[in-house]
Amino acid sequence: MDRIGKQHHMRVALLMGAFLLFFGTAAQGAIVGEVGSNFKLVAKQDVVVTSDGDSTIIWGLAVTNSATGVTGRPQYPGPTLIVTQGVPVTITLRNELPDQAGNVSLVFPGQQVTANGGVEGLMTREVLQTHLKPTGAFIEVGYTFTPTQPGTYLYRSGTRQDLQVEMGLFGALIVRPAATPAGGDPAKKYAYNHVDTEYDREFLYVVSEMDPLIHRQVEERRWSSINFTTYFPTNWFINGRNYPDILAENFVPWLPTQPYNCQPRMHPGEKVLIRFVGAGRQTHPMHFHGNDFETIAVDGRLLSSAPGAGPDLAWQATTIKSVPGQTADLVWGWTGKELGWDIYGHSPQDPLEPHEYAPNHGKPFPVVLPPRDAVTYGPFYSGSPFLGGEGELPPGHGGLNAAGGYFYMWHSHTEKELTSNDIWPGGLISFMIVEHPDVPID
Amino acid sequence: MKRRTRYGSMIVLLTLFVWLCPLAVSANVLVQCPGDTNGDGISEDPNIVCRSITGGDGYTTMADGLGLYIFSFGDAEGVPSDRVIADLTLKAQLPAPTIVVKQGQELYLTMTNVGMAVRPDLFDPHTVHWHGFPNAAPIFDGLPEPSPSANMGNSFTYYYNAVVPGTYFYHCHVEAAEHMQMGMIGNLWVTPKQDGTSIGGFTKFAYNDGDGSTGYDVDFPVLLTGFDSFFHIASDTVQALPFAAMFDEYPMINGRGYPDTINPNDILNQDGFGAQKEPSLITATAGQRILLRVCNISTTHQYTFATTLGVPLKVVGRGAALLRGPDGKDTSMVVNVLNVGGGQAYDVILDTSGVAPGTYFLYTTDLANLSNGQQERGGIMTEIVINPL
Amino acid sequence: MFLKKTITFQGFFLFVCLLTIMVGKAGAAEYWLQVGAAEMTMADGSKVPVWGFGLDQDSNFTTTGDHAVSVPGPALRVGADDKVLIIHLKNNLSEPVSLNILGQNLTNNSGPVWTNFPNDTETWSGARPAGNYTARVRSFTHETLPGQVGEYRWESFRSGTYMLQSATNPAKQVQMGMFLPVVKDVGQKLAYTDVPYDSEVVVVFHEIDPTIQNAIAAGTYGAVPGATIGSSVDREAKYFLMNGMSYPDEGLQHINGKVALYEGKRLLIRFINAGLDTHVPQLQGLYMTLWAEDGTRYQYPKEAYGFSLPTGKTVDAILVSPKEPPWHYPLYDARMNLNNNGVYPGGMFSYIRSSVPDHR
Repeated sequence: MDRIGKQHHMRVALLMGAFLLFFGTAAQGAIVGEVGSNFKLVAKQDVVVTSDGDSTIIWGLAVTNSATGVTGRPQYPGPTLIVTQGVPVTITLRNELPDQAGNVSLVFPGQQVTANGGVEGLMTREVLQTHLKPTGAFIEVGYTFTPTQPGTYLYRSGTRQDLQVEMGLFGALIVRPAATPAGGDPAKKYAYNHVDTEYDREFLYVVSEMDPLIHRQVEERRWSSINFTTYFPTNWFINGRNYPDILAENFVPWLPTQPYNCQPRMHPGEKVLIRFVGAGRQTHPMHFHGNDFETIAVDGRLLSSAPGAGPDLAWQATTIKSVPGQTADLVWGWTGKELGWDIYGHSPQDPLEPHEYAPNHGKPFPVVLPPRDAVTYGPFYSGSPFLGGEGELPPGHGGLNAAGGYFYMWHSHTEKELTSNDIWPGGLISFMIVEHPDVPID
Repeated sequence: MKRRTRYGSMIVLLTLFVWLCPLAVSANVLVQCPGDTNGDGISEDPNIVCRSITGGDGYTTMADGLGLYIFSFGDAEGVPSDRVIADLTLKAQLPAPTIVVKQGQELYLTMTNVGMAVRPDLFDPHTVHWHGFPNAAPIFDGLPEPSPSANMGNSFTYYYNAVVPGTYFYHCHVEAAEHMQMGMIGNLWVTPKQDGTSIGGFTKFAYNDGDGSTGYDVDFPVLLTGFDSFFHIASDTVQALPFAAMFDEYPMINGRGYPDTINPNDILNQDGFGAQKEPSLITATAGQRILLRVCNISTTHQYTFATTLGVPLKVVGRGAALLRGPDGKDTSMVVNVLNVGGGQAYDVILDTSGVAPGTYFLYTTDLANLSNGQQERGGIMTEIVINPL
Repeated sequence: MFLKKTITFQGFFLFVCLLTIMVGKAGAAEYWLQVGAAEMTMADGSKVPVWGFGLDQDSNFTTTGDHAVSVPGPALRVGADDKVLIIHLKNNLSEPVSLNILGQNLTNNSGPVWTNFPNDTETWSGARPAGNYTARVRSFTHETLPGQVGEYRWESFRSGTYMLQSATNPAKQVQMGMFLPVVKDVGQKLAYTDVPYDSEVVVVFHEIDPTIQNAIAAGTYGAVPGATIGSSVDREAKYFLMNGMSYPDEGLQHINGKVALYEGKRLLIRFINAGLDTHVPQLQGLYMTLWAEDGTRYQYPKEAYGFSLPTGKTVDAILVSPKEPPWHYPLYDARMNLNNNGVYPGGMFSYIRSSVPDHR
């Protein structure tokens, strides 16, 4: 097999072009969304694409640009709203759902919300459909709240919840801390008001599912046929896309109603914050290859023994249940320590990489790998077992890992959910890529 | 919950041709075991553990008598390389052979893909994924997408430096929804360095707790999973595989439904081979502490379980980690029922002090899963026999 | 001291205090329960057969008509100073029954009982017959045969929130409705150490599959000749209930009843999952503090607006009145079981409401 030599760095630079073409150039480690404190949303019907090549009707939320007054296409999930602790938030909602779809509303679990306008519904105030030509206070509903605590939250419809959440009316709400925590560094990022919630990169996982029969019944206006007692999803989504569509960039033009991707990347030694949002109605046990995570918060509250103690009740594992309506914050890292061999394939005289586990430096690879024709090379195998390495690939191999990163599947462990409408692979699959320290990520 | 569609369960069964075709064309059956000087597959180095398993197919018998086709791992311990394929074809076990290593040992696990004899049209590779291994590297992670996986007739040796004790499990990750549904799952444990020292009257522990709080007298695997019989029949009869309709209706502990869970003998398959070698009867002497090493590897269900012992389940470990916070706070859980999602593993201690001798039950409180398919009073249930002193 | 306090929701749910029932046994809570068949009306008017528990009002099993059964059964209280719970059970069904409480030790257990499944013509009690690996357990504890009275004693009864269930073929009998809450505090209005409360409500989740329940009532369920349904593995629930009611039933409009809940007052919510499926109780607009699980107090309480409640589990939460009345907050199942046989709105949806007593 190949050891990393001086030529490695040049190869990496040369191949980055081809690599980036596939994985995109969007800034890694930041969550995209609508940042601010005033949001104008419109519920609309549109279509999403699933990875088996099918398309299905959804009800999504579109953003009205405050400056231009222009409303875009709706998106699934709804826009990630990024707000600041202590700053009052106002969200107005209008309803352009099709005929007979009924009222729409939004609820914000964990927030104390004042709603105004519209009509009183089961859970909150609801807005009538635009085509019914509402006037005055009925044109839109407004929701105001002041997020008192930072963290990861969600919002979703509070009207005919079983149907409207299924159809896609939900999204993530992220509250940034108001200030740097005591003893913290203003240049660093913190999830909560405690130094032990520091992170380098953050990624969002909004998990949902669909039963295509329900969507077809909505499309065909067969309202009385809709029956959730026979609910049987065959489609699962992370941030509104199935695998492998989650690998593409944010805002790719061929997924106009599914703007968000899920492509975590990092360097060894970094801390990655994963914000989980259980947006649907099923529990999904999400499993992380590569290393344990630490759960530091649930429902926007640190796992803390007392106020100010930070996440001192954090628990670690490689699998966490994403519960409907619940959010969770996880911190993940990887160094490859104690593997028993040098992950870079170094000779003992080579310099140490950042965060490299020194006792394994220069230790030889422990087994003989089978010859090429005895194995099947996966699409993300670089041809070398080393981080940043590369090797000879069989003809026809796509070469999708030009930088020799370490790919870890982060996926639902209810493996049925790794399919899209009967097609494997699909559904709740994502890959974290740990890149060699020299590979630029952002 | 019912499925909406059911695929060809009543398709005429094909006559099975078992081809022991010479796979020597590209055959690389190689068991790598450093320190093995006499070729018996055992290393002379006490810090090295070598295991040899195979990936292939076979048959099992459900507790209502239904025979089901499976994929899984077989046990090639001590089998010479040139006999592995011939001897281990159709010898898949459910669950796969249990692997136990001590913290600090190095495991060289060779998996030889012996092919699927019942389905000569398939050429699936197989892998071994050590679920939960910390700081893993893809080359040994068993995920086929970023690594090489062993083709039919070939071996791959996985290397693990087992530094973190705990209850893990392993499974094939090739086309995971299919291969895991078909049964490629097994128990895998790492015992802590603290074992052998005496703390609080115990010499066996789940973790290096330092205070004996995870000490136990006897331990038992509780590997939960389920089979979707329609999926297995479709695989057996070369039909399209019903992924969307997948729904486990044969829930099992350690590869068997009740009452086979309490049968101390191997459960024989249609060929007379004991494919299901892991009974689930739990026995202890009154006053002993029982450690249950629990995991769930179902591809469709989560399972909740309880015992009728009248004492709580003390959950001391989760995901192969001691339940202690970053600065040492005790985060262990005391519950009466425990829900285990797919991919989750827990270490549960049952302290039988004060429990009267007799027979008790470990069973799923998801009561619909007390079934062997359409047969009631089966499924996820086993017996706990507490013997008098 | 202990006053008889009855909180009734549509006549289904009683909270009974020990002093009025106790019959001369110091330090013991003693109840006379009957189990029998009944019919339950769903929120959409349809009727479903159930098997439930009912309190025998004069504790002698002789007066007819004084033991209406309900699903859930009546909530029983074990006094903070009681060490023992005794239940006398009269079986008015046509098959054996038994009792168990997960997490409690049935002291006089003379079971379990195995049978030669599927014929059930032979039974063995106490231990599995040696070398017999085909017999299957029918009851986890000793059986009370049809028409008979059985006694079940739990000594050293632990404090907390629990559920009493049938221990006979639970997939069948518990599904039919044989369950009820049992609670024991550690002191007066003190659920656990340092967990005082002003008022309490028990919230029991369960579901009904009418096809299976009708087959059970008709004797065409299980490993019996002529069965149309062999097991519950394909169960598909059509009704979803909280305390035996579905939205828009009156009792769910104010699930915590008209007990004092206003500025600063603390409501103890005892969540119990008596169903066959996981539920996710979620509060909309407020956080609650979770203090205990399965009757054991957490070392550290948790603040959450929702949580997963798997089958058989109990969770105790405190909700503090957030502001001046009037206020109300939805409490519902985030698994979205919000329909009655497919019709929305329905199912597991309720309101927690403030309430100010007239004398305030």
